[in-house]
Formats: sequence, structure tokens, C-alpha cells
Amino acid sequence: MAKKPVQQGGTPHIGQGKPAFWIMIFIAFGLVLMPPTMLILLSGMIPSIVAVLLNGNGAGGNLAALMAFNLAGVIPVIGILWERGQTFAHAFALLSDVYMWLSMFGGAGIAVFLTWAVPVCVFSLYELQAKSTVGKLYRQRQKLIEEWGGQFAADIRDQSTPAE
Amino acid sequence: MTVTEETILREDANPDKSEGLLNGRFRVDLSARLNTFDTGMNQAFKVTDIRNSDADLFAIVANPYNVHRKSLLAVMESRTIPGMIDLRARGPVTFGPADIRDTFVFDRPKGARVVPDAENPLSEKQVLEKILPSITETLLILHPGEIPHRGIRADNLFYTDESRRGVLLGEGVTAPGGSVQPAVYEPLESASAHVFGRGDGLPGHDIYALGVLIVHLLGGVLPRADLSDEDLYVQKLERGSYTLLTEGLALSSRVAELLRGALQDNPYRRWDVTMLAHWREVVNDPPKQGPGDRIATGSIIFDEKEFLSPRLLAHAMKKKPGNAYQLLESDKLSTWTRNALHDAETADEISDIALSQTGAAPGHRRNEMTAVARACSLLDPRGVFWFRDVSFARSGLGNLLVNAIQMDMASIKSAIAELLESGLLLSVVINDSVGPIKKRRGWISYADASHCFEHMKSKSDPGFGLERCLYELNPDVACLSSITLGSNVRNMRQFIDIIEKKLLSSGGSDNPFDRHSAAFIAAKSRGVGKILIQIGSAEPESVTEAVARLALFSALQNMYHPAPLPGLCLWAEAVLRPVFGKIRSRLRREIIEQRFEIAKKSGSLENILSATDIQRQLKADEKEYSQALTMAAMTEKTAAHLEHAVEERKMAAARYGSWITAVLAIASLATSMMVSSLYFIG
Repeated sequence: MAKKPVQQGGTPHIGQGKPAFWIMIFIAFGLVLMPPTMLILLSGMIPSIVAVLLNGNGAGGNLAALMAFNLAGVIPVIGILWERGQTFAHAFALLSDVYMWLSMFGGAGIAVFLTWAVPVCVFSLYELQAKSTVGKLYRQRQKLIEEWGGQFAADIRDQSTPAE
Repeated sequence: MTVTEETILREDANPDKSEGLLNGRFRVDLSARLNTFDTGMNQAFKVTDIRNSDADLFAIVANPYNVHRKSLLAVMESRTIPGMIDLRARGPVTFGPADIRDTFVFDRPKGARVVPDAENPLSEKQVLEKILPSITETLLILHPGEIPHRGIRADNLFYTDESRRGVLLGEGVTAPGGSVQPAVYEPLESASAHVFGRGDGLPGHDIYALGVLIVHLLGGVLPRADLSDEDLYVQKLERGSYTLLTEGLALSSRVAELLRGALQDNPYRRWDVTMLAHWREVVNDPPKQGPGDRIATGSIIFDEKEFLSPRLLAHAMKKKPGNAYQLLESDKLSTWTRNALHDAETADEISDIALSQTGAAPGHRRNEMTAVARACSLLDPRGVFWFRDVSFARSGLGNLLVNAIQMDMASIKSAIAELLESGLLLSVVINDSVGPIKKRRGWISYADASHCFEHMKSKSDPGFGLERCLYELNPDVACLSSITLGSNVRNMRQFIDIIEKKLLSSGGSDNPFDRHSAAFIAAKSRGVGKILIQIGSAEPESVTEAVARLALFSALQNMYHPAPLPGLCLWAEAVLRPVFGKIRSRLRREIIEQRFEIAKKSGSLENILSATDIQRQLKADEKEYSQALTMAAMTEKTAAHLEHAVEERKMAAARYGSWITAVLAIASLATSMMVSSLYFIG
């Protein structure tokens, strides 16, 4: 059986393929059925849209996280719009409120921050753990040398050195 | 306080007050030499009897290699022998902490030594009425038990008092039989033997020596002092002892008759002591004299000389064994023995020797020597046994071996070793045992020859070899190990006592185990054979050998000295310290050393061995070392890997970070949706 050709560019991009199709359908229906809501949604999701457009390769997980955080910030704003009534006037009033923008873009900002900071923190933890383990191993080795004498160190070297 | 400290304190507090004292009574004064009574290498000293200050005594202090004459000693200790100086006491005397010497205390003759000289020889009357009866009286006590005196000579004869009313024969017990006698005093049976290989001999040796003594006293000078020992032997064979020794002496017919009987070269025709005691009455048929050997009806040519006497021929063959081997191979010797000596049995045996050499590599010196030695032993069955540089009379091999070791005579030691190892002596003894008793030559017993042959098979192992033969052939010789030499160690109890003292004083640095001590232990104790074999089969200086040596002395301590032995424990420490150094684990080493220190305090080698259990500990140590090595290598590898795996950790952190972010994102989205729906809809 012939192997399937590997897709150029690695993993498929967000916005490509079936998810992108359904998103487009959703946007089209949204624009027809509830245009003020779609205005708030598209405005609030600008960081995600930009990220989707700029995402060249790979970081699908980070993009999804960005979109999720961004959406989490947009949903309360849409809730306020729906509470006040779905009109363009209310939509523009909300879009003119800086706190609404802070809520929507803040979620994306938090996502970007977490995407950068969490791996750094995890790496730091890993480093600390590795250093501690290495220290422990060297102490163990030192104890063995103290127990078995100087010849032991030479014998370890002999055993560690691969035969030429 | 440890056992060692207690022992040292005890010894310091109780210095030995019995130094130089025998049986608590006879004090030997080593500063007062009495050279007159020296015998061979044994020195004589003045003795004071503590209980009787009037007693006039002297002591002979034996040298460490000395082998005294046990059978004669037993008689002298059991009774007073008339006509002979009396043995008052005998035993080991302590002259220092480890200086113990075998000492014999005798009554000192009140008269001077009988010293004849050429100008003032003794008269026949003095000899026949004073000296001969006195010596005969002595021999009448000894000879019925087949015990010869072996010290009958002019310089061993003393007047009983200053008025010279009688004579006393000096002692003949402290030195090996015949070793102090001038060569002329030795009959043909032992005359050509090495001085220390003359053996205890038979009563006939005394009768012969008495004959020579009479000639010596009547002539005033040592008979035939002008001849070398070898010429003396050859001329005795050619002319007969009587003719040779009495030449130029004006003897009365009765003295001549006496000398003919005493100086008979044929031991079976030589007078015995009973004949000597009644020689005036019983001699009706005067003994005939002739050459010292049977004469063949035809001659044989060897080394361009004609020989009629088999003993002379054997003597010449010993000098040129290469030529002798050719004669043996040519079968002329066998033919001559059969036709000229009319001795078919000996001729057959000589033929067998020649036949047994068929196919042997030509010029193989050992084979030639063996064959010639066997042939000579057949030609001179009453004489000495010869092999290379060794010649000894019956029962003389043991003393000869002691002397060779004392003087470190390498050629004699190697010849004796070869003689015992090759089985030559054993085959001669076996041949003897199938013949008639009268023809048995008796150089060595079958048991001794057989045991020595066995011991020489493992000659390189401690407890075997020539040293073992030495102690088997001389059961009364003291242990000649360097640590016990000079301490008169004759049994295992004494051995342990002495090495304990020596090791205690040296702090355990002396070595109680050498070839001599091993042979002595093997000869004197039972049940240590396996340990000696273990020592022999172990590599020198190995742990197995060290532990086996300790096990040997532990067994000896249990058997012969169950009390604490701190000196031996110090030695054990010296032996075990290097072994402890082989334990690689510091912790294990410290624990074993602690256990050793505790066990050492008990003074028991067995406790030390069981507490340290060194061989098992070393095995466990080796195994654990290997495991530790593997573990250390793995540790090092893991540490190195962790140190160089930064990129891997970065990638892992990125993956994990993304996952965490995604989880937080989904959680925040869900929360937002939930809270919003509850707030705005609900």
C-alpha cells in the first residue's frame, strides 16, 4: 500500500479545512441573524484573527489557548449587549467603552503571557530538579569513593571510558 | 588489661631464678669450661651440686643440632654401669628466656686422662689386668641389650683416682654414634662412612674399638696415624686390620691372640663380649687373620687395575662411577661375581641392574649413579651405603642428614634428597626384605625408607621434603626452625611455648612457620596434614595461605596449649593486617578490625579466625565492590546525562507549558461562559 504524501508545512492551520468552513458559515449566519452581536464578537476576537492570520506553522495549541482566553473575555461583553438589547447603538456604545476592550483584549493578553511564562517557569522547575538530582548523584558517588577508596575512583574511570 | 599486657607483666614480675639449674640441683657454670671432657661439638662445663658441695661433676651441654644416643641413655639413666663414668642427671637447662640446652651431668673422674705416649706406653700388664677387665665389665652390661658404647678410645679413658688404681670409660652418649672416634677405631663396616654417618653400630664395633685401643695403649701412639682415612680403609681391606695395626709392635702371644679376636674384620667371626671376658680360658682355636675381605679366585680389571677383593673393587668403583657403569653394562662384573666369587645370587642381581638400565639414555648421570650404587651395595653388603657424595653405615643416615643441615653441605643434602626421592634406597631395602635375615644389610628400616620416599614426593610443600625426612629419621632431634633453634624444642608443647615467648618478645614480627617448623609439626602432631596440604597448594603470600597458616596454629593451640597465647595473637595480627588491607570497603574493614581487636584479647587464634571470618568477608567485599562499581558508573552516567540534557528539558518544559496554558484557557472559557449565562440569563 502506498504511503500517503506528507503534507507540506506540517500540521494544518486554524482556518484551513473543515473548522474554517464551519466558522465561516457561523459568521455568515451571525451577520444575517444578529449583526450587533457579530460586530462585538468580530471586534473582540481581533487578536485571535490576527494570530490566525500570522500563524505560519505549528503552535496550534497556543493559538487555541489564545482564542479560548480571547473568547472568555468577549462573552461577558456579548452578555451585556444582550442584556441592553441587540442594537447597533448599544453595540457601538459598548465598543466605545475602554473597559470592554480591556475585558476582550485582556483575555488575549493573558493568553499570550501564559503561553510565554508557563514554559519558562516549568523549565526553571525542571532545571532546579535536575540540578538537585545531579548533586544528589555526585554526593552518592563521593560516598562510594569514600567507602571503597581511591582505587575505586580509578576503576570507575576505567569502566566509564569505552574501550578503544 | 589485655592478655598480652598481663603476660608481659607476669614475666617481668617473676624473673626465672632457675637459670642454669638442672633438676633444681645441678648448677651449670657456663663461664667454667672443661675442655678435657668436650665431645665433638658438645662443650663441657663445671657443675655445682647445690645439695652436695663436695661432689665433683661436669656437664656436657649439647649443641642444638645434637642427636644423643637414646638407647644408651636409657640404660645409663636406669642404673650405674661399672667401669664407666656415671650419668647423674640429664635434661633441658634454661640459660636464658629462650636459650634452653640439653644437658648431661656426669661424675667427674678423680684421676687424670689415660694419655699414652710413644716414650711411655702402657705395659701389657696394665692393659690386660687393669684396663681390659674394666671395659669388659662395662660392655657386659651393655652388649646383652645390643647396645654398643661407641666411645671406646684412648682419650676417653680416665683413671679412677690419683693413684691410678683403676680406669673409667668416658661417656659415649652425648654425641652421635662413632662421630667422635678416630677413623682407625672404626671397623670396616663403618670405616668408609662419613664421620656423622657411622651410625650407632653393633656391639662388634666396641670389640673392634677395644682392640684398636689396646694397640694404641701398648704402642703409645694412635695406630697408623701416618695414613689418611682412605688409605687406612684400603690397607685394612688389603692386609687385614690386625696385620696393619700391629705392624712393628712386639706383642706377646696372648695379646696377639686377643687382638686377633678383637680386630677380626669379619663381624661374624669377631669376638663378642662373653668371649672377651673369658678369652684366657675358652680360646682353644686361635682366630685366623687375613685380608679384610673375601678373595676371588680370579681377578677383574677395572680402571687399569686388577682386583681380587669385591670391597676394594666397590671402593674403586665409587671413585669412578662412569667407568664403573661401563663395567656394569659390559656384564663382566656379573660374570666375575659368578665365576670368581662363586656368588650366583649376587651375580644375578648385578645382571638385573645392568638389564634394567637397557634403553636408558646414554650418559644419563642419575641412572648411572643409581646403578653403580646398587652394584656397590651388593659387592660390599657389610660396608657403607654409597651414593654420590653420601656414604653411611647402618642407621647412620639420620645423623648424617642432621650434620649436612647443620653445616649446610649442599652437595650432601642434594645427594640424600635424590637418594630418598629416587626410590633407590627403598628398592635396596625391599630387595633385602625378601632375602635371608643374615644377608640383610640394614642401612635403613623399610618403614623409614618408605615414609621418606612418600615425603619426598611433595618435597616442595611445607611439611614434606628433606626436612620432614630429617625429623622422621631422627625422632629425638630438636626442632631446627630459626625461631626455635637453641631452645631444645622436642615436642609440640615445647614448640608452642617457645614460639609464644619469642613472638611475645618480638611483638609478633618473628615467623614461626618455615620449612623446618612445618616439618617438625607434621612429624610430631596428628590431624594437621590437610592444613599443610592447603598451605602447600596455596599461592605464596596469598590470603588462602595466610589463613591456612593461622588455621594450623589454631589447631595446634587447641591440641597442645588451650590457654591464651598473646604472642601468637600478635603474630596473627602481623599476618592479618595485610589481609585486612585487601578489604576494599572502609566500613567493612573497620568492623573486621574491631572484631579482631576484641578477639585478640581472648588470646585464642580460633576466636580470631571465627570473628574475622576473613575469607568469607573478602568474597562478600569483592562482590559488593563490583556492585558498587556498577552503581557508581551508572550514577556518573546519569549525572552527566542530566547535565547535558538542557535542550531536552526546554522541549519538555515547552510541551508541558503549552498543556498547562491550554488547560487554563479551556477552564477560563468554560468559567466565563458559565458565569455569564448564570449572570445574564439566570
